[in-house]
Amino acid sequence: MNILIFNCGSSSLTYKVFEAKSHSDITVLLSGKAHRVGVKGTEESFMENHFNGKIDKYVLLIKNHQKAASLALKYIKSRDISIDYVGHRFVHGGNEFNQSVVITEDVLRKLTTCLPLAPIHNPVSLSVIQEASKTFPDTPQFVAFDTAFHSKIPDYGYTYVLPQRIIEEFGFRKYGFHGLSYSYVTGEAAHCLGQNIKELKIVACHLGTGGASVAAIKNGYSVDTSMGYSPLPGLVMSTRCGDIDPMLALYMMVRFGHGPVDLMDLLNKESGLLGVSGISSDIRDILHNISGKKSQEQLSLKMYIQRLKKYIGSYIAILGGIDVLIFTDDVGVHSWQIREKVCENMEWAGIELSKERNQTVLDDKTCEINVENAAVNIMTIPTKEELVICLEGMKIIKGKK
Amino acid sequence: MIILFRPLPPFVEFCKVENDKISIDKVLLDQDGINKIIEDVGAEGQLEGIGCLLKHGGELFAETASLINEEILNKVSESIRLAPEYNELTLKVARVFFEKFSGIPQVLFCDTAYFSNLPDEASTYAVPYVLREQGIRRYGGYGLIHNWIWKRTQQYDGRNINKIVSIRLGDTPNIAAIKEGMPVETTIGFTSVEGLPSFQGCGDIDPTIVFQLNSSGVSLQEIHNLLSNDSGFSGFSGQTCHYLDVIKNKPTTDIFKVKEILRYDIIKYIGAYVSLLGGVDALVFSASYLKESERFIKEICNRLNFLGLIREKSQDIKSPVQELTKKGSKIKVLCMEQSQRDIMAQAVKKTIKKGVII
Repeated sequence: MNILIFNCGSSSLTYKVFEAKSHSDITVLLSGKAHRVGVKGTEESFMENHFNGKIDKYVLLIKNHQKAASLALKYIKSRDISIDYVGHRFVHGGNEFNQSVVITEDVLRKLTTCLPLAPIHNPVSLSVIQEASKTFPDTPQFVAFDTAFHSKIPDYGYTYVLPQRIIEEFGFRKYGFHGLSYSYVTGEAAHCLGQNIKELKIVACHLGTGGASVAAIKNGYSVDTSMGYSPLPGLVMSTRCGDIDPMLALYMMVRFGHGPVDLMDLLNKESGLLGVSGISSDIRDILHNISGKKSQEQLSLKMYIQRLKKYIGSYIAILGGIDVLIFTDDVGVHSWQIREKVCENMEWAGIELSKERNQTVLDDKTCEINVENAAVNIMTIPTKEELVICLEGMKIIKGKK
Repeated sequence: MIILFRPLPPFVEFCKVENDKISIDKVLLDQDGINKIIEDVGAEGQLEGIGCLLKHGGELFAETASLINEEILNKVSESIRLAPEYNELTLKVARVFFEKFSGIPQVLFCDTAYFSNLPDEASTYAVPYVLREQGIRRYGGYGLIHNWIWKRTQQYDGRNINKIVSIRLGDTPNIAAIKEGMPVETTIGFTSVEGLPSFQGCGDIDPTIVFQLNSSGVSLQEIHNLLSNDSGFSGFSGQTCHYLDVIKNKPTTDIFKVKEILRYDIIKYIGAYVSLLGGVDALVFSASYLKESERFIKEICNRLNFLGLIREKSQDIKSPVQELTKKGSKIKVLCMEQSQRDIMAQAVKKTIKKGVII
């Protein structure tokens, strides 16, 4: 059975065609990625496709995700690959969805009501779903949600202490994100350690080049996570501010006359590492330039580390200890300096990093980087969101039969 | 006799300390109210000292206590924009009594000053520099108490206590991480709305909520009131609900939920601060209602056993400073009865004795 998976990033579109014989026998037939989708900048957008060990890349204007999807679909058709199912990542399923579903008319309608919850990501995913149904009108499609993994967070973890009528009217609560990634890396960690995931207390750090979050995982489910109603709060991110005093948002509107949209742009696109360092939104650039000792760069790095340490500590406290600490996604896997700084002075929790192992991590494999016989397993795990979506799809398809 | 003033909008709390007797009153600061206080103070000869609390001194005050003079009053006046409701009251009462009783020692206590020493990485919000330049930073609060708690831990066991997490329980619960006397982090931020939920404040929420409300037509003034006056223990439970109501026996379902959230958030912050400190020597709980808080404190500690704290079995809170952990416990749990009034009164008394701020 061939399953095509689409994964929309904020300025990219990844697709993969998996040939799935069973849960343990899944191979990638074809894959590709559209880069710099809809980005206005000096560098051009381009498409790359991987097939039969060959890569072909071509530069062209990709003005939106729908266009990117249509290019991918055309390419798949041209290779004569049959598709049995199409699966999609959907960032924010709100209260409507707490698990993956096959797309029906009713589901489509509900997905539409979820659009405002993630105004950057959700509409884009919906447009890709529509594009795929044009090319494959008779092929069943399904969606997997980033919020679903967090749907078992207890009420004292997701409730904001606002008047209940406001909570109900607006649906304010913590939802959490990066769930597909957490689902994969925690499963992978348990598998590698040969342990039952239900018996592990895990803190996982999904550190991307854009968004980043932390999650506390117990019994195989998320019990708390650093993002909230939206992907804005939590860690210091590339351009998002993370946690701030909510009154500050108000103060900026009153004192500096920012309108609500300007304010959201400011906190989402001009804050975080970029806002503090003043030079770059990329932690790798900041690490690279740090020897220059510009104080604002140092400060941005310190804040990034401090915030992460705070979240790890608070999640260890609510879990009542920790068995596994996971680092994933681009920064999590590629930046040994970040991991080294975060794990400093964490002996109180049994976290002891092997500096050597930490510096020789492989980009494409799960690695253990704690010292020998440490109480806590520290691991780097490259995330595989598309694979999780594929597995999710196989689960519900199986359920149908 | 000494008198103390704390802003409690729209009132000022007026507190008279005579020998060991304390009387407390809430007064509106109109001419009637002022006359009433002056009448109450009685003949001038009896009054020995005055203490006034400034809730938010921003970057203007780095000293927790200062002798009031013209220069200090000017700074208080400058600080009004930081917390208008509170600081206006402080300025008014301080000025009236400075002019009326200029001969006696008068102390201004600034509740944010202790946290003016927060490290940059703790005081900075991850927003653009142009905004940070304009005074947008974490100011903290309740510095008088946290500073005092630190000193008491040193009297208790200075040799073994270098790193503490100080947890203040009450209507505005808040937590500070302190290392060798210096603050490392605290839950109160630019305002006291940030951090733990409080009597009327929402605590930490996603800032996107402010945007969502405003774009749905809720005015900025309404959002201000919603987050700082209509949320928290009271707003969530739909009734006036103080800290003591939250921790009492047999609460209603809604208040029980509030208690669960508060307990959970406290545990999270303790974990976060232990992590920042790289381990901790003592968790110090303090409250004006310490005895009443006993069960709540124990519930929190029960969930922190993994840190290596070993509790004395069935230890009750009997004295103003009580250790709940056994000798040999890796981490101490201390409970301290505390009141901001007492701290202010003691400091004013000392100032009267020595003639200078200590």
